[in-house]
Amino acid sequence: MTSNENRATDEPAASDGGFAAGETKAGDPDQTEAPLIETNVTADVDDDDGGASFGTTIIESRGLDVFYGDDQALQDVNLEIPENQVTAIIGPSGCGKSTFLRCINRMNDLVDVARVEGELRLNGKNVYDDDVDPVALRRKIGMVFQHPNPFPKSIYDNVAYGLEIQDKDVDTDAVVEESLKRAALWDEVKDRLDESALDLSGGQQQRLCIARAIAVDPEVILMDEPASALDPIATSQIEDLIEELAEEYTVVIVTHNMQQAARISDMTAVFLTGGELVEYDATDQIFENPASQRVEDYITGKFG
Amino acid sequence: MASERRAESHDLGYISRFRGTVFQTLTRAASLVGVVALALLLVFITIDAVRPTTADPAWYAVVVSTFVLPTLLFAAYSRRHSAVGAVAVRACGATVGGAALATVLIIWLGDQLGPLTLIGVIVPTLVVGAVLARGREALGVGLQTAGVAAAGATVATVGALFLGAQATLVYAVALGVPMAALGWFFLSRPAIGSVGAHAIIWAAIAAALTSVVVEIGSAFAGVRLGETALAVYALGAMVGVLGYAIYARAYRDGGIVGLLAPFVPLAAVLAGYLFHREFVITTPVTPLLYLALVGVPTIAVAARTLSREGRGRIGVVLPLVPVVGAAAVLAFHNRFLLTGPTVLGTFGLAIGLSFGVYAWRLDTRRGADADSTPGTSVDSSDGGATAHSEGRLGLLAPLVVFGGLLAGLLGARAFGIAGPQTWLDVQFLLSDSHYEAALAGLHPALIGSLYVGLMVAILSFPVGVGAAIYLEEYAPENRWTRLLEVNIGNLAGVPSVVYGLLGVGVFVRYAGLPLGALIVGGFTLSLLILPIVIISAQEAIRAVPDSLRQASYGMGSTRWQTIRNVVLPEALPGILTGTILALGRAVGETAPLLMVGYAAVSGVPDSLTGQGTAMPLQVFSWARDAQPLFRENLAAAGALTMLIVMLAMNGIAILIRNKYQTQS
Repeated sequence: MTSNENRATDEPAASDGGFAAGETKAGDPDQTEAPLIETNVTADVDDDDGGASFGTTIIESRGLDVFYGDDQALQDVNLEIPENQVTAIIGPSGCGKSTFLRCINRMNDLVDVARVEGELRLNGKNVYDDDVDPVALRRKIGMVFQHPNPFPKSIYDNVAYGLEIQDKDVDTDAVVEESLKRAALWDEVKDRLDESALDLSGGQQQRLCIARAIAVDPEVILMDEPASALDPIATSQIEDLIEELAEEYTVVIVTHNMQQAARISDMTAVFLTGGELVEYDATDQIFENPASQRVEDYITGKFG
Repeated sequence: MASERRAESHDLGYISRFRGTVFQTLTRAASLVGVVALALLLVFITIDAVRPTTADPAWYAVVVSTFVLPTLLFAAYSRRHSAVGAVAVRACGATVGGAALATVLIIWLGDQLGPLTLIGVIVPTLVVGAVLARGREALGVGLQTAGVAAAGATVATVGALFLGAQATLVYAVALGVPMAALGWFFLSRPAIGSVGAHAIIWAAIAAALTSVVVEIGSAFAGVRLGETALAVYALGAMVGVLGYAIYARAYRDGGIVGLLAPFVPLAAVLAGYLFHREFVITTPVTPLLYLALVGVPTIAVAARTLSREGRGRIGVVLPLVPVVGAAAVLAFHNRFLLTGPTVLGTFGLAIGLSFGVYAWRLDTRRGADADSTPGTSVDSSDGGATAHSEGRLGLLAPLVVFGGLLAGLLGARAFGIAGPQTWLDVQFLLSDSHYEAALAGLHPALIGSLYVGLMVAILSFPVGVGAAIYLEEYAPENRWTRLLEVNIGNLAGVPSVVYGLLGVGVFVRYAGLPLGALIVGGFTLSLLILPIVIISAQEAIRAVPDSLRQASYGMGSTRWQTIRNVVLPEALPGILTGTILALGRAVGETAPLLMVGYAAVSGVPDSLTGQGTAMPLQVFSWARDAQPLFRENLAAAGALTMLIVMLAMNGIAILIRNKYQTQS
């Protein structure tokens, strides 16, 4: 037991190399000791959102903590994501941004050691309530992953997959065509819908995954670094697509690429090491005039 | 110190590799020892079995000039033209596959096989298939349903062997016609069709489970249920329908009519049974059930696939064609016994058919290629298709190889040149045991092994794969799971004699099945390879990328949907490969079969509780015979046959693996 605890506290401190982060980690068991700056920022966020300048809130996290075994991956995250906007989550590796994304559709439930505390509300309903079925929740929230992961089926069957498992009584052909058109893939694949999806290029596969996600008409689309495995041309196609999708869907996108976040998002949340949400504001504000010195350091490349 | 080291490092002379070279030599020797020993053994067996020295030298000259030389020349030519080579290999593969199919048909069906069988099964299938193939979508559907039907037909054949000809005909008609009508009806009303097809599948599974429970239970209790069993099965089917209705809330959305669908096949089977009873006095209930259990799900699955896709609807009729054809022919089979021309005709038809299908596919692919504009697609298979159309010359390969062989053999016979006096010939494969070596054959043992293999496959595949799925996808990570896995690993290492003892103890002593019964051997060997099947299936399931599971869960799939739609289809090739290899082991086992009382000399097993026999036992008994002809030549021929069967099974496993590996 003792050796375990030692490892849990030693490792992050050693890798951070900064005394501030070390302190945060040391204050782990007791949330009240969190550094002042962060608390202030969270307060700012709440104030900003109170202004209602970014539309109605669809996802709201309140005091969200996530633990993997003894390690804490997210610390007291408070965040309100507006509807029909693109919200980017940026931050260095291991800062918990993917963890946060996976909390929204409860994909963390699939990890045995993961434990979630706090609230995460979708349309005002806490998704971690006992009466919420994670499967039903995921049917409302589409997800696109870092590496394109189409099923080894035909292009048509990939897009129709969600309809099939959800037993949706719709005109499958029409929905498949519509989804592929919205994912800007229709013209490239319309003549070979019954060919294997694995024969597509990486960028096409990722657009197919997006088509697959939107075929079931979800309320929110989560994207976990969707362009990080793609070349620049495919990346720009995906970015254009995300901007179009935001007209009808709420998009939450995790990205390593700060330029990408600046280009496509309306709101940006910055997570820094240790799983804290350091700043959350309109994207312009974050990139031009961040409130936190640490965020400025991160964005200008001095840290992370 | 430092300068000393630097001075040394300026020396660019020889660095000893002695130990490395010795090691390399040793490893090479190690790999050669096994291969060479096995090759030598094979050569000796082959010499004893085929006796190549008995042939006239002129015979070799003829065969070399018509077969070996042209083949080598063609091979040399296709080496330089890779496109031709690729087509040649595939065309020869298709031909060999056809020949293998013909061999299995001939040996298995034996005296039930007449020319009409072939015409009745193959020709209608071909005609209907060709008509359907005019529309590409219908072709896809047709192939799909034909695949389902082929699996069904295989098991149905077993039923037909037990049932006899007339009964098969009656049931095929009684069941097939209403089911086809039902499938047609489903297609026009997808909502009802979906519910109906599901309900039929559930009913069939429930009836099957009931039948297994009832059959085993009554066997243990020593009671013959007779016709009462039918009612019990029907009850099981109804429970299945009820279960489905509750599970899927199928009574909503106007699909409730579909719940009546299972009554159609049920009534059909019953009607067939009542009708049939008038004509035939003894009707075994069990085989009747086989047929119902196979035919019904086949057509239901086909109908379900079609109603979902809504394309190529006419393909639903396809599975009916071979069933009805086979039934019609079996009704007359007694008049057409196995003769030389029949054997030749079987080979010719099967080889020609598979080759024709391959050539025709090549052509359609080429056509499809010409349609799509070049350059726009990144499809990797396009390159292959283009190569195909260039390499059409490769289609001649089977003609050169097999035509040359046939010409050589027939030519030599025509000129009275004697070939080798081989022991491994058609007579050997088709004859029963005999006290005279020249008349003795392996036929009962071959069929016995085939039945045991089938039984083992049917028993161990669902249990093994089920256990693997549970352990990989459901079981929590705790010490019990680990204990279970460790024990399965240990069971894989238990000597087969011990399994034999277990078989005698459990199935003969405790369950009261007769010693030496076909089914006892099947059960025992299933237990023997179960751990191997579990372990290989576990590995295949573990190899499915987690990203696919994530994608499926992310779409809102339940665990069951993820396993059924994503994990199993992806893992199936690996599972099949492992299972086939394990089956190979089961078919070659001797000790457990000796323990459970299988006989070396016996007729073809006539029922599940009839006397079982298997190839290795026959070979063993020949090898101990006092007469040298049995000891040396017949045993060698039997061993060679076994090896060929094993190699074929392993080859199929490799083919499956390669096919799916290149796809993903």
